[in-house]
Amino acid sequence: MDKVKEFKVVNKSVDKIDSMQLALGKPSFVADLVPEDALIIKMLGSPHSHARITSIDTSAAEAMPGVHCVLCHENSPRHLHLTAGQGYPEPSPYDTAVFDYKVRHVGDRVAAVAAETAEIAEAALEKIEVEYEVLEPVLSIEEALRDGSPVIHDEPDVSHPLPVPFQPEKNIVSEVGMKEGDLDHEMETADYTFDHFYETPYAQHVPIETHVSFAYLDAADRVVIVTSTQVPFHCRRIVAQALGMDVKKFRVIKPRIGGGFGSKQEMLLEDVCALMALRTRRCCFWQLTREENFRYGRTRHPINFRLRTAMTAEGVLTGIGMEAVCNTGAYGGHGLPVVGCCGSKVLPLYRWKHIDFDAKVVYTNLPVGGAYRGFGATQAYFALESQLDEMGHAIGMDPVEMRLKNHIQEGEGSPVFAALGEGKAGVEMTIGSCGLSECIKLGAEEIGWGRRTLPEEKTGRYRRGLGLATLMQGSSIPEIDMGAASIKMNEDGSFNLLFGATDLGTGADTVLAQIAAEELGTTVDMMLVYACDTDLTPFDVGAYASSTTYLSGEAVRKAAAKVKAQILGVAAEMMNKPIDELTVRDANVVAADGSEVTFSAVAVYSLYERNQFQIMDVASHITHKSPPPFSAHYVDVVVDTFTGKVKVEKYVAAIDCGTAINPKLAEGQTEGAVMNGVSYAICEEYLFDSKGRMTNANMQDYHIHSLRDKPKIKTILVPSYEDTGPFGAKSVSEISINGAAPAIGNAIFNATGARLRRFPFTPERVWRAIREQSTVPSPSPEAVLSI
Amino acid sequence: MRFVDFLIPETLDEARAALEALGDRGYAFAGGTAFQYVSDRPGATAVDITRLGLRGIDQTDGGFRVGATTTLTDLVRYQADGWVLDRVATRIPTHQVRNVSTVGGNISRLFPWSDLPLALLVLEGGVVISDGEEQTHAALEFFTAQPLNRFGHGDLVTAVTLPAVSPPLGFGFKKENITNAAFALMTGAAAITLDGERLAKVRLAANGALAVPQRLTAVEDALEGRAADPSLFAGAVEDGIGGLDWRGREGMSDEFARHLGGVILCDVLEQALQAAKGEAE
Amino acid sequence: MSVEKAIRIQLNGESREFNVTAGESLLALLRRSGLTGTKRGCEDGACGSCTVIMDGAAVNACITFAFQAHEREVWTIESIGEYDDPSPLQKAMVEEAGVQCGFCIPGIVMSVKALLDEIPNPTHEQILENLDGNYCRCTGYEKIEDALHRTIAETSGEEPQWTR
Repeated sequence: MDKVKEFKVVNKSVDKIDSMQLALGKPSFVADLVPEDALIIKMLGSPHSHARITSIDTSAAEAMPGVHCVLCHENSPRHLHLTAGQGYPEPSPYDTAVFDYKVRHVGDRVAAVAAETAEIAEAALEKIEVEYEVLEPVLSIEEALRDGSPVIHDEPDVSHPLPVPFQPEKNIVSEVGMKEGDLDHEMETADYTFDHFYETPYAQHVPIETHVSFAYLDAADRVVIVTSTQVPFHCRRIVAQALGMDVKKFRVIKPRIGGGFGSKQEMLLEDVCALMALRTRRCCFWQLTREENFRYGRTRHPINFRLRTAMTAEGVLTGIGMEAVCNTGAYGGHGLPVVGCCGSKVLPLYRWKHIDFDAKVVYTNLPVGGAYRGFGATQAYFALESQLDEMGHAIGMDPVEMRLKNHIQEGEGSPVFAALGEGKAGVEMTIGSCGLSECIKLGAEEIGWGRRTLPEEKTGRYRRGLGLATLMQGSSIPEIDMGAASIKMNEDGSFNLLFGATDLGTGADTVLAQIAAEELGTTVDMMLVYACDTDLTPFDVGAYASSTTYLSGEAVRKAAAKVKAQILGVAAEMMNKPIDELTVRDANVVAADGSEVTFSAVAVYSLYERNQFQIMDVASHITHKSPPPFSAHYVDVVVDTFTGKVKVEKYVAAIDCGTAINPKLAEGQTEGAVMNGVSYAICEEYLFDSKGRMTNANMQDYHIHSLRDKPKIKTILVPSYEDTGPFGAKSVSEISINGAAPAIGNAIFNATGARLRRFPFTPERVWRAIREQSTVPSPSPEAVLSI
Repeated sequence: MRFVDFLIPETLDEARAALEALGDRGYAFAGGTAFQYVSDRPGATAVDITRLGLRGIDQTDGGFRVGATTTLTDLVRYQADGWVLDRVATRIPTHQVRNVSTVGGNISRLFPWSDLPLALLVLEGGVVISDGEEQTHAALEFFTAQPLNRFGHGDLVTAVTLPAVSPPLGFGFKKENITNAAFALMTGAAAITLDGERLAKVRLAANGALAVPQRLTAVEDALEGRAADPSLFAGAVEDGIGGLDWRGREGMSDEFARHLGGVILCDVLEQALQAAKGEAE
Repeated sequence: MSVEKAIRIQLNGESREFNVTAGESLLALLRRSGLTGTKRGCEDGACGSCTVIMDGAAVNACITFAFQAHEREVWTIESIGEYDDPSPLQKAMVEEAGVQCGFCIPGIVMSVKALLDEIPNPTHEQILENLDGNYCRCTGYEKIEDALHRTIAETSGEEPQWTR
C-alpha cells in the first residue's frame, strides 16, 4: 500500500457515530432492551473460598409461587469449558462447569433462580438449602505451590485443549519461558547488576455497567442471547460447548456496551440465561449486582516478579531475567496469555542480549483473573520501569537518556517476538514504525523535565517528584486473530457496513466507518454501521489484544476496496469508459476527462437498470505482525511525607499509535487508560479477610478516581506510519494503562528517595517506605558494583 | 434498611404523633442516604420529615441556628461572616448525597465517617430536640453515646446551633481520605480561643480513625493556658492520643491510623491557631 | 407484606400518579416506567449513573426511595434534548468526544444541568464539588471537561471563570 498521508476522512476527529444516541439517553444497553415480562435471574454465590457441595435441596425454592426454574449442578449439563473468550482451541484449560459440585472462590456459582420478580428470586435463593464440606483454601501463590497444598481442580474431567504443561494436581495452570544468550554469565560479569522483587495487586476494571445478559427463544425455537460482551462469536461457541449443543442453535447480539476494558472478554452469564430460556420458554434476564461484579466478575491477575538485570558502566542494558508467577484465581481464564504478555509485550522494548524469561500460572481460591486492558504488560512494566529507574540512579544517568540509549528502533527485531506466542511459539517481527524517541523528547518538554532535581536535594513536608516510564504493547495476535467485514451499497449511495468487531465504547464503530469511507471516497454519515450479531455480521474474534483498528480495520479497508472495484465496474459500464480511467471522489465516480456519476446513480443503475446485481463484498484479514505502539509517560507528583499521601498533579502521555484514525478518540483512549492506570496505582485493590472473602466489594470501599481526584492529563500524539496497518494505523487502546504505576513509583522515589516495589501507593505504604528509607544510605545497596 | 410502609406528614406535630404511635417500627426519614447502612428491622415504616418546615439557616445572636432538614449543599452554599460549616460539608461526598443528606441525619446516627459532629463538638454547638417543646442539648452531651438512644418515640431533632467564628476564636478542619469520595481515614477539627498570646481555650476532636467522634480532652488540657506556639502542638498531641482506640481503615494498620491521627490533629490545631490570630490560610 | 400507596410526581413536566411500595427506589420506578436513560450502575449511591434532578438538585435515583419524590419535580435525561435539539452540553459532549461507552453520560448531563441552572459560571472548585459523584471509567474526564468548559462559555455568555 502506498504511504497515503493526505486523508479526507481518516486522521480527522469526526464525531463518534453513536455518541448523540448515548448523550440523549436513548435505550441502547442490554438492560434498556429487556422485554417487560422477562423473568429475573438471581444467583446464589458461594460463601466459602473452597468447599464441596455435599447436598443441595432446591425443592422449597421451586415450590414458591412465581419461581420458574432453579438450576444447580444436579440438573444442569456438565461439559467442562473455559469462560475466557479466546481463539480456538484456547491456550487455557477446560476447568469450568455451568454449575459444579465444588466451589472454588467466594461468590462462585452454586445455584440460580429465574422468577417473575427480583424479590421473588431473592427470596427463593434463601430457601435453597446447601450443605458444604468446607475445604482448606489456597489463598496465595506461595500456598498454591507448596508441597501437599490442597488441589483446587481435582475433578477427573478437567483437561487442556492444547499441549501445554497443565498440572492441576500441583495447582499449576501453565508455564512458559524462553532463553537467549547467557544471562547467568552476564549477571556474574556485568559492570552493574540488580535483583529485586515486585508485587502487583488484585484490581478490577469496574465498568460502570455490570455484566448483563438476557436470552429468549425466537419463533423458530432458536436461542437469542442479547449480551454486553466483547466477544460475541466466542460467546456463541462457548455457550454451545458448555450446554453440549450446536452452535447453530444460538444467536448472540451485542448492543452498546457500558464499558468493558477486558472484563467482558468472558462468557459469564450467557450459558445460564440460555439454559433458563430453554427450560422456561420465557425471556430470562440477568444483571450482576455491583457486589457480585466484584466477587464473581473478573480481575486483573496479581503477579509476583523477580527481576534481575545487568548493564555496563555506560548504562547499556545487557541482560534481563524475569521470573513471573501469576495468580489466576479459581479458574484458568486468561492466565497463560496474560503471563506470556509479561514477556512478549515488555522484554523487546530494550535491546537485551541475554534474556531469561520464566513464567508460571497458578490456581488459588481467590477471585478469577481475566483479560484487563494492558494484559500482563501492565504488571510487568511496573517491575521493569521501576528497576530501570534504579539502574539509572545507580550510575547517575538521567532516566530520559537511559531510555533513549537503549530502546528498540525501526528495523530492529527481538528474539522475544518469535519465542513467545499464545500457547505456542510467536511470530518473528521487525519494528516497522517507532516514534518512541520523539515521544520521550516531547513528553520531557511538556512535563518540564529540566526542573527535575534529585531526591537528596529536597526538603520540607511536601516534596515534588517527576517520574518517567516508557512502554510498548502490540496490535492484534499475529496469525491467530481474524476479523472480517461486509459492505453493501444502497440506492442513495449509503453503505451497510457490517463486521463482527465489537465497539465497547472505544469508538471502534466510528473508526472502522472512517476507514471504509476513506477507501470508498465517501463520508462517515453514509456508512450505516451494524455490529455485532452472529447471525448477520461476519466473524471477528472480538475486542481484545489491541486488535480492532489494526486487524478489523484492515478487513474493513479490504472489503471497501473490493466494493470500490465493483462501483468502478458499474460506472465504467454507465459512462462507457475504461475502468482504469475512473476514480472515486466525494461520493462520485470521476473520469479522467472530469465527467462523473454519483454513487447514488451507480447504485440505482446496479439495482434497477441493467445487469442488475447487489454491489456488495466481504473481506477477512489476519496479521503476520503485531506492530507495537510506543509511549512515554511522565508524571509530576507531590508527596506529603508526613501522611504518605501522593497527589498526582500532572500526567503527560506522548504516544506513537501510527496514524491516529480519529485523533480525538485516540486521545480519549489514552486519557481513559491513563486515568484508570493512575487510579490503579494510587488506590485500587481488593482487600480480603483471612478466609479469602473480599471485604471491599462495593464502590464505596473499592475506589476509583472521580473528576475531583484527577490530575491534568496531556496527551501528545506522535505520528508514525505502520505500513501493515490500515492507512498507517497501529493500536492505541491498551498501552497507556501501563505507565502510571511505574511512572508514579519513580516520581515518589524522585520526591522522597523511597522506592516502593508494591502498589497501590496508599498513604501507609508510602509513609512506611519513607520511614524505612531514611535509615538506608543512598544509592540503594542492592545496586552492586561488581568490578 | 427496607421499609414496608411510608408516611408523609406535613406538620411537625403530625410527624411526632406518627413516630410516637409507630414506636420501634418508626424511622424519621430525611435524605435517607445513610439508611443503606442501617440493618433491617421487620415492619419498619419511614416517616418523611422533609416537609415540616425544618429547612433553613438563621442568624441568631452571635451564631447560627440550622434547621434539621437543611441539606449539606445548603451548608456549602450559605455565606455569612463567621460561617464555617461550608468547609466541613464540602468534604462530605458526593454532590448528589449532599443535595439530600441533612444536618439532622448527619448527627443523629453516628458513624466513623460522621463529620458535622466534630465541628459541633469543637465549636461547642447545641442540638435542639423537640418532644413537643424544644430543648437545646450541648453537643458534648449529645454525642457521648449514640444520639438515637436518647430519643423517646416521637422526639425529633429540629435544629443545631453554633457560634459565628471570628478571632479570637479560630476553627480548623481536615479530612484525609484515599479519594475525595472515600470514607475518612482520619478527620480532625479544632477550635482555639486566644487570649493575647495564650491559648485560652482549645477544643479538639477526631473521627474516622476512631470508632465515633470524640473530643480529645487530654490534648486540650495540655495546651490550654499555654503560649500560642504551634511548636507545642506535636508534643501535646503525641502525649494525649496514645490511649485512644485508633483504627486503621481501608486496609491500613492501627499503627498508621494513630500516626495519621497525630499528623492531622497538629494540622487542624495549626489551622485553628492561624484563624484565631486572624491570619488568612 | 409491603403496602402499595399512590404518589404523585411532576415527572418531566407532567403530573403522574404511581403506585409504589415503601421499598421501591426512584430508579426502579423510572426504569419500569420506560425511562431507561437513567442507568443502574452500583445501587449504592456511589457511581452517579442514575443521577436525576429532584426539586432542582441532582440526586442518586438508586438510593432515593420513590416516595421521597411525592409531590416533587423530577427531571430525567429524557427531558433534556432530542436529536433535532440537543442541549448545549449534549452537543458539546458529542463534538468534543466526551462520550465513550456513554453509560455514565446521562448522569453527568443531569449533574451539570443542575449545577449550571444554579451557578451559570462556576469556579473550578465548584465544578469539582458538583461532579464528584459521577464516575466515568472510559474518558479520564479530559474530554468531558472540554465539553463542559465550552458549554459554560456558550450558556453563560461569559468567559468561564474556570480556565482550562
